Amino acid sequence: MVFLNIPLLVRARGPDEFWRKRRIFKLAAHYRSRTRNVYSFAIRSVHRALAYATKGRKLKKLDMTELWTTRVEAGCQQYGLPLEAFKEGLARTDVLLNKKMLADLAIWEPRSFEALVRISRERAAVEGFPDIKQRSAFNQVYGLSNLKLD
Amino acid sequence: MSNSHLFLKSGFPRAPLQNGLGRYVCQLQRITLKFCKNNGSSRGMRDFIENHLVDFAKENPGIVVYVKPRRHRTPVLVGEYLNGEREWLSCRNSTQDEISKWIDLLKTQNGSSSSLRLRKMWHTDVPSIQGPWTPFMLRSPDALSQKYPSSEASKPLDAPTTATEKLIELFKQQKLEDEADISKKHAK
Amino acid sequence: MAFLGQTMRHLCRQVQVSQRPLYLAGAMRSLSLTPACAQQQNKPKPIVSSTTSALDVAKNEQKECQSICERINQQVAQSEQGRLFAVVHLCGKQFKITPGDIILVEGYWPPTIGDEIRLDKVLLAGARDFTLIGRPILEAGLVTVKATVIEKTLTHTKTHFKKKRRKQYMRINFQRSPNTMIRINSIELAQPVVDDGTEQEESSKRLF
Repeated sequence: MVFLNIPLLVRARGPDEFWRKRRIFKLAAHYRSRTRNVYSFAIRSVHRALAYATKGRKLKKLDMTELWTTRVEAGCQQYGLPLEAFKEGLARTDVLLNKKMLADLAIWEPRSFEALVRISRERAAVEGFPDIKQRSAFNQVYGLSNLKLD
Repeated sequence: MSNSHLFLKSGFPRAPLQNGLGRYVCQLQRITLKFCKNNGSSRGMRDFIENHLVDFAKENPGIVVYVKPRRHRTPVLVGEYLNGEREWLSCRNSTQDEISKWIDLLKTQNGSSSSLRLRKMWHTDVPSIQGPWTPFMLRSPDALSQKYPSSEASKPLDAPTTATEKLIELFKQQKLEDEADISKKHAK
Repeated sequence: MAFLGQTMRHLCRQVQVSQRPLYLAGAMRSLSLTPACAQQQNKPKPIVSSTTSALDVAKNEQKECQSICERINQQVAQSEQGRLFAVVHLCGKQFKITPGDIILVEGYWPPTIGDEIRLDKVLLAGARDFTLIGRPILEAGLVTVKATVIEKTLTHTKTHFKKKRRKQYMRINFQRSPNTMIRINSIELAQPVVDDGTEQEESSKRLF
């Protein structure tokens, strides 16, 4: 392009119209009705879709954390232990597994998860959490000398 | 009709041919460098070929290197992989360092990576070792021998106590305490 | 046909469930069979009621702990433990892995292809019958996890696009971040599980 004066330079909008539009149409190729074929409609929906995709990458992470929390909560509720006490008990015993791992263990390795619940319950009983005053009925945690019972 | 899968395919992490289980096999087999001998856009490519290409070829004896001068064309890198994929990269106006980085990328990957969106960041053939959780895992086996309809099983698990029941309990407690007091007095 | 299949499945399930009590009783888990609501109701009184009994309990537990360690060691010695799994901490993320797995490390990570590495931060290791839980990680050398780096690549192009309506604000960026693919080769219990009773060396808790 040749810019003979300044206003033309300001008005010049990058690449040729055809290529500029083709970029958008390529992204809109799978839309339905006029959003696919009419540029003014297509660019609107493409912009919205890209913005959603950008936000969605963050939202996916949040969704996953929520899902893991739900799973861990369900996992420890089946042993009659609330989630907060479970997490607190594990943290005080220096078991630093994260939510994702706990949820994974609860589903795929239920026996290991059971062991974690027992440890947590034991710690809760020893430290005297408000909810849990008594040690569990089905108590088979070994290596309790670590917990400094006496 | 949705064709969204045509634009960017999604998939799961896989390694070709059980790579890495016994030993690691480099997946890049051939690399082709095309450039122009006098065009400015392939200047970086020419520098790379002069300075680093021989070293690269010596370090990686398993990779075949082709150098093709192409008159008045932009410089191009093409890698061909063991699984038959090929990756094409344009190196127009890129410097020597950039080209050596791109070549490094071609060397370290298993196939063309730009065309696949990964849905998971892990892959396992054996998801569970102790057996996955089932709804029956902690259930009592009494449920098997139970006859339905049963009044016990159809009660809600978390039925709250009504106010009347609480009052009755309080009354009973009071009665007990009173009796205890009376018996104490008698003992005295 | 479908109906037949369903009935078959029911039968299978019944067989499975009826076998369960035997297996559980064998594993000393008869107490955990009662449903959760029942457990809450009939909790017994605290086992530790006075200081003297607490000492006894501690001694008993020490013994039981040792016996369990012996059983684990026996299993490992006869290589009856089966496939092991481990939870490792790698680049700020935790992965549950078992031999033959593939995991991906996102972001810049120095090791190159063909490198054989040992993952040291093992938070938890387990098998069919036992679980070793680290506080927060297992002792160095107790469990060896070996892995090979098999691919270093870039992700697909992610479009980072922001726009505000009627404000003439629009930004677009493209990014590709590095990814590293790792193959887990082996997970092994290297040392026998020891229980010395001292708190320093007992960084792991043994459970059955």
